[in-house]
Amino acid sequence: MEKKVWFYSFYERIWHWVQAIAVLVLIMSGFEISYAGNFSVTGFKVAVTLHNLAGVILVVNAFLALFYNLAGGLLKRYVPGLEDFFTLGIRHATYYIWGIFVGAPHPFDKTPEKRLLPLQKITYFMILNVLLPLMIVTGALKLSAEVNPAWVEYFGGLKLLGPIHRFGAWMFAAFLIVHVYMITTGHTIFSNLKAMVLGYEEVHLDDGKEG
Amino acid sequence: MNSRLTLIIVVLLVLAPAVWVISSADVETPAVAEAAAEVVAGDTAAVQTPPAEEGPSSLFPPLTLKSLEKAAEPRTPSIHPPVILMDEDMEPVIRSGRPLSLAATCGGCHNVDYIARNNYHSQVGLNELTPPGQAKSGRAWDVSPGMFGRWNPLTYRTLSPEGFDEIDMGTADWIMVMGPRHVGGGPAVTSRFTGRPLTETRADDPKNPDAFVLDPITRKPAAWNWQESGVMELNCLLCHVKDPNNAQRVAEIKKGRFGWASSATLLGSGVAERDGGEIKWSAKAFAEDGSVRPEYFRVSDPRSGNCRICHGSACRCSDPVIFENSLDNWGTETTGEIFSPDPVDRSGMNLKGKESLHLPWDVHAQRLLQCSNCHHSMNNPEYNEETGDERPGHLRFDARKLGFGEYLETPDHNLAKGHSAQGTVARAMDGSMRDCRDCHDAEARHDFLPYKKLHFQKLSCQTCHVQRVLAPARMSTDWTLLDSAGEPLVTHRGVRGRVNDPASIIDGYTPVLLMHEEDDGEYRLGPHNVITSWFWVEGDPERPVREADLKAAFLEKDGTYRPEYVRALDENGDGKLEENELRLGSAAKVEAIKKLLESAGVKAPRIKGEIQPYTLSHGVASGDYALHCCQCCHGKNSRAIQDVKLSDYAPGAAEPGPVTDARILLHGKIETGKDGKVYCTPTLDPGNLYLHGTQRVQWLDWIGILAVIGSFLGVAAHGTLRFASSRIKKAE
Repeated sequence: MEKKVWFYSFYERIWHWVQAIAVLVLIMSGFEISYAGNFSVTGFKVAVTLHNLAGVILVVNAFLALFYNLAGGLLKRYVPGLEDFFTLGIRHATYYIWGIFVGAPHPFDKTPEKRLLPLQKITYFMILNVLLPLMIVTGALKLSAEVNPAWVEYFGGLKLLGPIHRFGAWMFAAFLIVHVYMITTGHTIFSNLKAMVLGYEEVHLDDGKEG
Repeated sequence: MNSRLTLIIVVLLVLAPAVWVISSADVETPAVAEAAAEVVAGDTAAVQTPPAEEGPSSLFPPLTLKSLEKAAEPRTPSIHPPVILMDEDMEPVIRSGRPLSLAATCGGCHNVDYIARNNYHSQVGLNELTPPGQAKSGRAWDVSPGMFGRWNPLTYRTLSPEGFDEIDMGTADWIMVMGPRHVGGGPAVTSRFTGRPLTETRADDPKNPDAFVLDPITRKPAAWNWQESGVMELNCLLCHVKDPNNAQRVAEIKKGRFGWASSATLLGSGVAERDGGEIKWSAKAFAEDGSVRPEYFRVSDPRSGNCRICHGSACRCSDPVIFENSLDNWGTETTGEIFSPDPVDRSGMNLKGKESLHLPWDVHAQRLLQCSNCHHSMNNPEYNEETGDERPGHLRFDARKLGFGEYLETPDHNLAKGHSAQGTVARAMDGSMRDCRDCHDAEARHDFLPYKKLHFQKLSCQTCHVQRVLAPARMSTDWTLLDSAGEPLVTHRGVRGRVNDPASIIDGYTPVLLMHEEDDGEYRLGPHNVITSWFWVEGDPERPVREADLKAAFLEKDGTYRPEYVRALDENGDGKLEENELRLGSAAKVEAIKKLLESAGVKAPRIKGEIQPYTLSHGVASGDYALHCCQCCHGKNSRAIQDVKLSDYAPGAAEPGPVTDARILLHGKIETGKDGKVYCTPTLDPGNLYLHGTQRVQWLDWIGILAVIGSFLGVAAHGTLRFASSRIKKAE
């Protein structure tokens, strides 16, 4: 049975696309800064400005989302339970490793309340609690050199912050590749993308699935 | 109509020279006259030609007119009281006819003893002597960080220590060799061993370098008669009169007539004149009481022209700038710097793209700064103003000031000093001058620059403001062989062709960026020239093979090559030595030359190479001509890691190493390239500087790259399998 289910509010969609653009700009400009002389789109100086601007937008947007989720009591949807790491996670992974190729039904039904499936929860949990804070802290410290270079030195200097920030960027890029690909694993190739644009998804509800 | 036009033209033609004559005549106020004198002297010369739209004066560009004929010397009296020039016995020289003693002459009012002691230009290391081998240069034969005791491969000869085996440079030799760039006093007056006047030295100990000099013919010590030569007193005139006659001073020094050096400085001024070989005092220049008439003798603050006498005489100033690379023009020779206000595009030199170089040689010179504005006396009340940080916190104003009278009696001649790799003397004074940031509020400008504070913390201002040196500078000095003039083999960077050849194109060079320690302990990236020197050393502890031994081994007495020398180097067997043959490029040549040296008495000679960085602090460009390119530092082609050519070859495949007292971090590889030239590839220590886009932690980067590649391959494989399985399912 097909049902039109609203998954993403207008704010959530705006938030998502702002973050998406910010991350893309950050990765592109960061790449230009890191590989100056090998890769150039905007030029080094513009890349630095764009990088800083996109970084600030991303952080502000992230904190707005944190407030939104805290105020709405929605934060728990991002917190994986123990079963998400084991039984549910394994079932989810098994689907992507095997079931998806043999036409097995998706083991979980996505609902607005439980829109994140086990592997997504785990991934976002790691990103939101490890990678994003790492990038924000190292990025903010680097940015703070504009105000007071001593702060950077206090936290190990650019020689430490630079490589960590860059490693995090690689991880973000890796995540982005998988994330974009996973969009195509919905009911149709574009159904997930459509949902993030329009807000709703045509969900196929079957008995016997766990949601 | 035509007659009216003719009349106007005639009037203009008559009036124009008149206007000029009036403008050049001594009708100016003293201040104007002073300024005019400066224009002629050149320090302000570039006193800009007013733009045409500024009015009638542009019809007569002052520089051009002044250049046509040297303006009359200002005869306005100095505010300095009349001076009685006295000899060492306090007799007026006009009566005694003896050499001028400035200690006696100036000492009546100024504390010359204090001035001589607090004066690193005079002491040049005398007050910083160390036992041989303990100097910070790391050389086994250095005994001080200054010109007196710190060996310089450019001048080469070594100051002989007490108890020397073979004398190279006794104290009197030192004065004759280094005196032309020494102001006198210090080691030119006082024995480094006894602290007593050199005139008290007796030639009773043949191992005493104060008492003996090198006889260049016998290469043995020869006694020196200080009574006859006199000593080279601190020469106040060199810095405190306009246009001192340095050529005549040097001539006296080289003749060993040290006592007459100060007197010779006044030759040409009308106060003294040469009569045959002797210097005579001119009665017309002296008043009845023995004082010099003020119109013949103007004492003044040191002007840049005075400093140029020793530090670089690049600027003729009343003409377009022309210069010559030589050790007489020390600053330009070692760095390529030219401290002149003149526009580069009006230079008389064959500069590449000169017509587009609409900038002065140095923006500070153009803006009327004198050397002494930055390198001032440390207790000059004019400059000695406490900044907020230096003043005790509870005082808004510190009333304890040195009065001008007190200052004039005891002016500290330890002049404020910056930071440089080569300025090894008086390191304690490093950073005592106001640096760029003390005068300029850099953060108020540089709006284009992200992370201003960080850039200013990690870079010296010169990194961008001396982005290119427009004159040639020395690159290498090879003393392992001598040319037909008995000189070392010298190469320069920044010139296509032979240096000083008018046909050569001067294209300048991009300085190498090196981390330099400043007095706050911070290392900052700054522009440098690096000069590599190759030379033979002998003995244990080692010391450079004496120039006299090199000459004895390589040259005949008439200065021509010895046949053995030619045979050792002549590759094509034509019996002549061509330029490309004058280098120790093979083991066979090295061995042959070693044998020649050993036959001249040199013990176990071996080749050594040394790199001396020279910090560039002058030749500063204004913001319009400064480096604005981010990728010049950030990126794979960063200037900070660019290969630097050290030398066209490595004699005997020796590897040069940096001196250890330059306060420079010179990390990197030094190796001979496939082209046979020696390069240094600097690397940056990320502990001191992390350049985005240039430095990275490779292994961490690779993990990240593999994660991205892995993700991409994973989704590609997964997507392909999905596609394939869906096709199979459809087919089924």
